[in-house]
Order: sequence, then structure tokens, then C-alpha cells
Amino acid sequence: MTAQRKRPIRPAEIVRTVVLIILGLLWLAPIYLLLVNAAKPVAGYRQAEVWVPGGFDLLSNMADAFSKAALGPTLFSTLLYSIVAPLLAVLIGAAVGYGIVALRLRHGFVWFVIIFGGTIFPLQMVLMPLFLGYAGSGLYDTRIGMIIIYTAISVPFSAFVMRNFFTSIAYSIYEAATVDGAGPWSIFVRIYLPLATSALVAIFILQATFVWNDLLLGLTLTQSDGVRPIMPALTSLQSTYGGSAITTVLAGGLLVSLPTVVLFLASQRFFARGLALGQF
Amino acid sequence: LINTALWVVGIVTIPVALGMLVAVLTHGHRYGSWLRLPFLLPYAISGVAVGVIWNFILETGGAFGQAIGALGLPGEGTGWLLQNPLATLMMIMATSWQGTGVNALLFVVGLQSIPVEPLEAARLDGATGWRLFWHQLLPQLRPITTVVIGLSIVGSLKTFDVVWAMTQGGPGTSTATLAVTMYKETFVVNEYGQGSAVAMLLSVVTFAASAIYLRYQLADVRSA
Repeated sequence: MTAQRKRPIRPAEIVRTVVLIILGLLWLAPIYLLLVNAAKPVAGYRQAEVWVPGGFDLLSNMADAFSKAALGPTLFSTLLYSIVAPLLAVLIGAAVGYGIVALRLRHGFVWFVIIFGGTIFPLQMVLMPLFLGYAGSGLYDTRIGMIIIYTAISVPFSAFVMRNFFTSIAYSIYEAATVDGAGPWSIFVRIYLPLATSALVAIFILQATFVWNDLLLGLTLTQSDGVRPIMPALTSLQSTYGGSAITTVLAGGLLVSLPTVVLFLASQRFFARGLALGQF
Repeated sequence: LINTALWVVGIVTIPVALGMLVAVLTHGHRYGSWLRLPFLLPYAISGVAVGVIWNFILETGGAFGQAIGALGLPGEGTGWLLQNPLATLMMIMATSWQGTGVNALLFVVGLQSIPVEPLEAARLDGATGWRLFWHQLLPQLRPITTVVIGLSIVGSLKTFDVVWAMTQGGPGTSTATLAVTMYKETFVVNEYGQGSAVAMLLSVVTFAASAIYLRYQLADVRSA
């Protein structure tokens, strides 16, 4: 893979490349359409010419989407959720993994199954009770409530990965540190967490993307513009077609996709790593 | 429910097959990671945005219709999302567009863990192309394939955002998956009982699918 041998290009290689390029272009076509049409001026949009680029009003379209869907406060809330919740989840998950693997918690595996078991069930199952519980406890339509639920949902995966990761760290490290006089807490903070940095980052990125892209929870548990995350806001922009032109909707779609796409491109290796970590 | 079945079959076969194709083609390719990029890009885009993009492309007489027309195929003026099962097929297409990249990535991880020696040996014995893939790669990819299929099944059962953004289950309830029906019954029509029943059904089906898949996976691990 890295050690590519020099060799003459074989016909099979060319076929492979051509097939890949054709498929790749097919895959890029929707993105091309999105970019081109999100950039057209509202008045210059003709359905018959969707494939043809024309004009560059991307920024004003984005601004339009921004004000129409009241994206400002939404954007802030979503950012808050997708930073704080994964951060908490990663730390809690790491603590769970550490407790089970390094501290040899009694019945550790049972605890793990209890934490992880919930993910087998679909989110929809808990939606109703969650809604009623939130409504009853005053967490409905609050930022704290959203952070709590996003954290809770992200913990199992993070615990799962961290448990596997810590299993791969030799237990003798823990014993050696104990002999040197370190307590469990400082071993966790000063040895295990630094060792796991790449795994922690990978989980954080995956979960942040999940929270940013979530629709269902946001739709169910929030109401007001300032609390509601960005994806429900986008759907409502789309459904109020009367007021917003298609170019505006597309610009809005592009706008809310940019952060995750950029994050993704910047950290592709971490993404692959995170997915691979989830496999064991 | 039948819709959910069609949906599951579509999501389990198309993106998994395409993902494997992309992975095998890019594996060991000089510019493999670059050629893989177009497929990964949609994965970072949210389901809602995917819905917005494809809604736009699939408008009656929109980009998709025009492309079909330019290729000389019939159906240029079709309302792609206005009738079923066409609408479900279109949404499967949109979801495949989004999901192929992850599967490809998982398969690449799987391919990299395959030892090189048996492949070299087979190559020396004169196995090429298709036979190499069928007799050597595919059996060795089985564990990762199980994982990918399992993830696809569970993921497809829970699908909500793409459908919600594209058709909201309509026209009528014809394109609703279980997840969409559940949400509609509970929070739009306020039929809490109905909604809960659908949620229970969905849970049972998902749980059964996961259980079967986990058993297979565990069996694989044990024999490995």
C-alpha cells in the first residue's frame, strides 16, 4: 500500500482508473448541482438551466437563508451542543473504559453490557417517554436538556471504543505506576488519557458530526429558535417554500453542511481510525 | 411496513455492493485515497441536507429528468417523488449516494488486514481479476462484510432524516418507513398509543435483526 513498486501500467490498471473516475464524477454531480444553483441569483434561476452555472450570489443567498430561518442563534446552540456533548461523552466513556479495564471493576463486563445494551434499541423507542419526561421535568426546550440527551446518547459508543482501546494497553504499565506511588486518579489523567489521545479525538469527531447532523431529537425536544438545533431549522426553511426561493434553500443546505464537511476533510485519517476502532 | 422491507433490502444491497466495488478498485491503487474522496464527501453531509439536495435534483422536470432525457431515455417529465414505489427507489438512491463511502472505508480497513502472501501465491498460480476476487478476497472479507451488512440493516430500519426531508412519508403514507410513521403518529397526529405501538414494533424488528447479526458475528470470531 505504501510501498508501491514501480511497474509498467497494465491494462487492468487503466480500466480500474476509468471506472473509478466515472463513478466518482457521478458521485460529484449532486454536489456540483448544489454549488452551482446555490450560487445563482434568486431572479436568475431557471429550471431548464439547472446544469449550467450562472452568476455568483452565494453569499447573499446564504445571508438570506441565515435571516429567514433565524439561523444565528440556532447556529450558536448547535455549535454548543456539538462541542460540549461529545467532549463530556468522550471523558465519561474513557472513565468507564478505565474503570472496567484498568481498575478491574468487579462484574466489569456486566456494567459494560448495561451501558452498551441501550444502543441496540432504536432511538424512536425512547422518544415518547423522553418527550414526556422532558416536558414533566422542565428540561423541554432548554439548552441544558439538549446537552444532557446528546451526551447520554454519545456515551455508549465512546465507552465501547475506549474499553477496547484500554484493553490494548499493557496492564503492567498500571502496575508500574502504582509501584511508583501514583493513585488511580492521576494514572487516569496522566498516563491513560494521554496514551489514548488519538482515539479520543477520533470519537470526538465522529460524535460531533452526529450531533451536528441530528434531526430527530432536535425536532422532538425543542421548540424555540434559540434552542432548536440546525437541522430542524433547515427542514422548516425547506417547507416554508412560499417565502424562500430554491436557491436560498440550497444555500442554506450548503451553509449547514460546511462545518462537518470541512471537519471531515481536515481529519479524514481520524475518521477512518474511529470507524476502525469501532470494529473490534 | 412493506416499504420498510423494500427500503432495508435496497439499503443493504446497493451501498454495500458499491462500497465493496469502490474499496476493491481503489485498494493498492496509486491514487486510491484521492479517487475515494468523492464517495466519502456525501457522508459528512447530514441526512437533511442530502434530502434538500436530492429534492431539488428530483423535481419534476429538474436536473435528474433532464439528464435522463439527454441520455435518450423516456420519463423526462416524471414526478419522481410523487408516486410510489418510484419515490422509495429514489430515496434509496439518495441514501446510497450518502452511504457508499463509509462502507467503502470499512472494506478498505478490512482489505488492509488481509495478509498479502496467499494473494501473491494465487497470482503466481495464474489466478487473475475476477477469480482472484471471488476465491481469495471475498472469503477473507467475510467478517468485515458481516459487520457492514449488520450496520446497514440496523441503520436502514431507523432511517428517518432523509425520508422526512424528502417526502415526509408522502404521498399519503406510501413512502413512510416505520421510523417516520412512529414520529408522525406520535407528534403530528398526537396518537400516542399508535405511535408507541409502532415504536415497539420497530424495536422488536431492530432487536431481532441485531441479534441475528451478532450471533453470526460472534460465530465468525470464534472460528477465526
